[in-house]
Amino acid sequence: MIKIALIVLLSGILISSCQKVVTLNLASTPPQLVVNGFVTDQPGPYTINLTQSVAFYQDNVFPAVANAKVVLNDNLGNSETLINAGNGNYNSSVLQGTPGRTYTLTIVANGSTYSGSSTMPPGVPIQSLTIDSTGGGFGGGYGGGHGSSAPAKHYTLTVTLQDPGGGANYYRFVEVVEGVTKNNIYIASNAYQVGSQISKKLSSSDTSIVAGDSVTVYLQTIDYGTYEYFNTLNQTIQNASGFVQVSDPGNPASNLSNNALGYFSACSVRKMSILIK
Amino acid sequence: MRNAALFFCLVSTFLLSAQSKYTVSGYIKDSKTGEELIGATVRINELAGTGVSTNSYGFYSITIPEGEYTLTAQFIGYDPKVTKISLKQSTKMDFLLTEHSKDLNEVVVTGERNDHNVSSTQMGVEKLNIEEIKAIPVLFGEQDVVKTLQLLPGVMNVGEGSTGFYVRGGGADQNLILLDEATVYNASHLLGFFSVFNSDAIKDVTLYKGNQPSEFGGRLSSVLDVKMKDGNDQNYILSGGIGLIASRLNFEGPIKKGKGSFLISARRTYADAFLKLSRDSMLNQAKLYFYDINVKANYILGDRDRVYLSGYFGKDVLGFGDTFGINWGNATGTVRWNHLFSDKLFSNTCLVFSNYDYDINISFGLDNFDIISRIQDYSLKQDYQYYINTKNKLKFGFISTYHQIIPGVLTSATDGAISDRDLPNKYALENAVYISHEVTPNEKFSFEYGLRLSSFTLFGPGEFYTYNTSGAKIDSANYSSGQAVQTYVNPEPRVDAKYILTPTSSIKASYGRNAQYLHLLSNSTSGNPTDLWIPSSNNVKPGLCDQFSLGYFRNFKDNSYEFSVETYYKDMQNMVDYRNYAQLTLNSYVESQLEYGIGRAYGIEFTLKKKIGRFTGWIGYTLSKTELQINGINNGSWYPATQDRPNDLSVVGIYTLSKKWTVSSTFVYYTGNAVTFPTGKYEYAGNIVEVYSERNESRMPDYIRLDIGFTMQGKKTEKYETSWNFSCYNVLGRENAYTITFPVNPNNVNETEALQTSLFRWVPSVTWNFKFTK
Repeated sequence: MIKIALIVLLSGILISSCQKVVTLNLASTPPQLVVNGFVTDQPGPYTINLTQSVAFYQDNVFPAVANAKVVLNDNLGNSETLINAGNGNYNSSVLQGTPGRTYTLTIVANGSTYSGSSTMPPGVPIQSLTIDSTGGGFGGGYGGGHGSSAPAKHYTLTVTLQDPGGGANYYRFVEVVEGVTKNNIYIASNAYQVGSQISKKLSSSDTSIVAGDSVTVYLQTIDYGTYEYFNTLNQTIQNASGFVQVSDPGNPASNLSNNALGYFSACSVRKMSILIK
Repeated sequence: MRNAALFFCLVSTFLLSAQSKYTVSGYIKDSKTGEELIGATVRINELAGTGVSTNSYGFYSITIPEGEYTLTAQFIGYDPKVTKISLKQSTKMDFLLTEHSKDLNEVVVTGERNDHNVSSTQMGVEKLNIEEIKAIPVLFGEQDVVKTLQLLPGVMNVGEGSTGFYVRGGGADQNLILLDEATVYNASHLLGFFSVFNSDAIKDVTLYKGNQPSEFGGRLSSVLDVKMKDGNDQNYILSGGIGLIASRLNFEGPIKKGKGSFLISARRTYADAFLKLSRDSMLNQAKLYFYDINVKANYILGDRDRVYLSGYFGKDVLGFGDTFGINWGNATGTVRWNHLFSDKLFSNTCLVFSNYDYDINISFGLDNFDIISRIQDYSLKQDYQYYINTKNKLKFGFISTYHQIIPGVLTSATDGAISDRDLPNKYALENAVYISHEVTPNEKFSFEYGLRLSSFTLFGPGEFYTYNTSGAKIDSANYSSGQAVQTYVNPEPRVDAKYILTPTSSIKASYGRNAQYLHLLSNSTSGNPTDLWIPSSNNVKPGLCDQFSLGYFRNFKDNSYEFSVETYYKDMQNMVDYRNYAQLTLNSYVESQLEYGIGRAYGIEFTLKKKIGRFTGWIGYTLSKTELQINGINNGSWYPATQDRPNDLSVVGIYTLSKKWTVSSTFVYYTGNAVTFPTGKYEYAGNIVEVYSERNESRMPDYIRLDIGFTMQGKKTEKYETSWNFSCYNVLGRENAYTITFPVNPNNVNETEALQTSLFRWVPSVTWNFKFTK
């Protein structure tokens, strides 16, 4: 954050900087499996989505993986083979996610086997969800994007929860505006405030929230691996799109074997909605 | 160790002879300013190959048999001075040299000129002439020693416009930067676009590219030894300059004529003053400036004693309204006492203080917090130089430094989402003793061998963690205050040898080991004021580097051209790299973010210099490779380090057109850094995410730049002179890549693109300089 602010300031002010699109001769790797899947404590079905990566200069069209075998089991011996619902989606039908259990996802696709596990923490309710329209100005928030200097009305959502303590807890917040899920990554941990109240600002870098919108925030209680994944995913995205280049970029820390990208997570989910006035 | 001492004694006594001998000693100074000249030479014309150069304080001593001699004192850029003496007893003799007048029609006196390039035992040493620095065109017209150094072979900048530098494949933190013997931890202003060295206040700049003398240590790659001016001890001088973004003022003069002098030199940038005029609310709230002050005073207490006080203070301030502010800076102070125990034994005692800190203040809505971090050193240093006779010179001494590091303290002013954090302070003691013996058995051959024995101890109090190879915490232990957590001891042998092939050519070889106990953690591609220094610990072992080098040196045309080829090979141990997306700021477990391994660097450097005449300048070319092998990165195979730049070419030319006009130009070409670019992409949670495979497998585009500068000498009298400096940086306007990022194309969300940001094109500048003498 500081780094970004420093360099944005400096570049914007001092320097006759200029930007242009260049064509680089980038090395390319063969397509890799990308997994996006959640098991929650809410009623199913749970969907595991499988796609493939493409070369950098190809269009942003990511082929679905059609003929995979996807198996979900928990540490109590329950197992289910998911049903191919097309478009790379594989759905569960009987399994019910339960906090405390460890879920393992096994995928056989294109002749390779991939697997990963995640343990579901108990759910933590949202205490309050408030909206604040006085925000804006420089920067635009902590976890989200940056670079906003538009004077247009800018809403900041604040989610508050009571951390139950009892060790390290990790949270992810998903913001849905008028049925559209925002892609901003918001995470929090109780690392420095075990058992205390945690407030997280969700501050969209766009101004797409307008009066009359209905906003729902989902609070996922996630395990450490999922937290680390989203933390490094966020840095990967910032690194690629921002002004700051780090010297040590890499793929986010996945829990999936065999070089698969993406993540499989077991989490508990609570939600709260608010109407923008 | 004892054997080594015995050996030194034996060699010394063996080379001493019984004939009655006397010592000539004294200082070599500038006749106008009284400044001691560093590295000036005294030759005995009657004794071929006998000579001595002045030390860092302008002192020389030479012991020769009774007799009639002709002594020649000389220094580059000065008229030589010849004196006859009849040596019947030990004699004190000071030389006052006068700077070459810039008369263009003058036929430069031929005869013996400075052949230091060929004749000195040391290799891998670069010395900069301050006048040369002033003539070279630079960004924003701010003359800068570090940027001039970057134009020399084996020295590369960290990035466009940056004063960070890499020497022979070493990292930016592997350079020991000394200002009057005090360590400067962050040598850059304005995020690296300026160095902390104000060229008005600087007398001498020497860079040792790894084979440094035994008195230096603590960094793997190089020593940049910067000496401040002592101040004019004859006249009061007020000088300064007004530039586009900064101004300088310098005042110096005698405390008592010929006995002592002082110097005060200050700079301030004012880019932010223009920003206030801007209508853009984004710009006119911004704060962006730095200032620095150099102060020095010295006094001769008697024939044998002289004291010096020097200090530096600098501060950078960067901010945006009340929401964000950061300031950072160095402060150093040195008290020195030069003492002559005899006309053969010179002693220098120093007390040194050094501090670097930063302070960040952020307030976003309800959150208001402050982060500070600091590194502070207290040192005691003692050096002796014993000029035994013409064939033997001994240097020995010690340095003891107490380091205190405050890695980071976060204080929150409100009950926001951020809570206070206080990372435990680190305390360490770094000691070294050294001895070095320079032997000149005959005119052709000379060598110097020495040993530096260094040690480092990290102390409690605090909880210290132990991590396994994957960075997981496996143990922790509590230490009380003053209890040693870990101690390292390293012997660092150094050897240099020279053999003169012909009067104008020589070969030199050297070997040196260096140990480094402090490491700078930085994972941005350009340096950052918030980069963190950490001490060696139970997890982080001290870096070690062995460097072997070999060189051929040749002068042409009465020493007016110097040519050299140097090759080097470096073997490095305990190198540090970062895990992917290492979290380095305010992290109590920061050592868990590191990966360790080994490194190697090798290369060949060519230099052709023309040092005298209407046209001066140099061509430097380096072909090199720098690689790391780190567990956990690229499956443990060798990969190019960030600073690996195979080709690096610099051309510098300064031409005196007339008495009034001087034109200068620099040209720079180098291969882009090794970087990690994406090899593919995918979609996750609504985001386009890049795929990365191997660390540093790609390259930034090649870098090419041409700068031009003109200096116009204005009216010049005894009392007053002015000059104008005009320059243009990147006159070709080439868009050199500073960063390349990979965003989604804003005009077509179905595509991603590689977006290159370039910083400086056609940056013109003008500076007016003045000087009043009274």
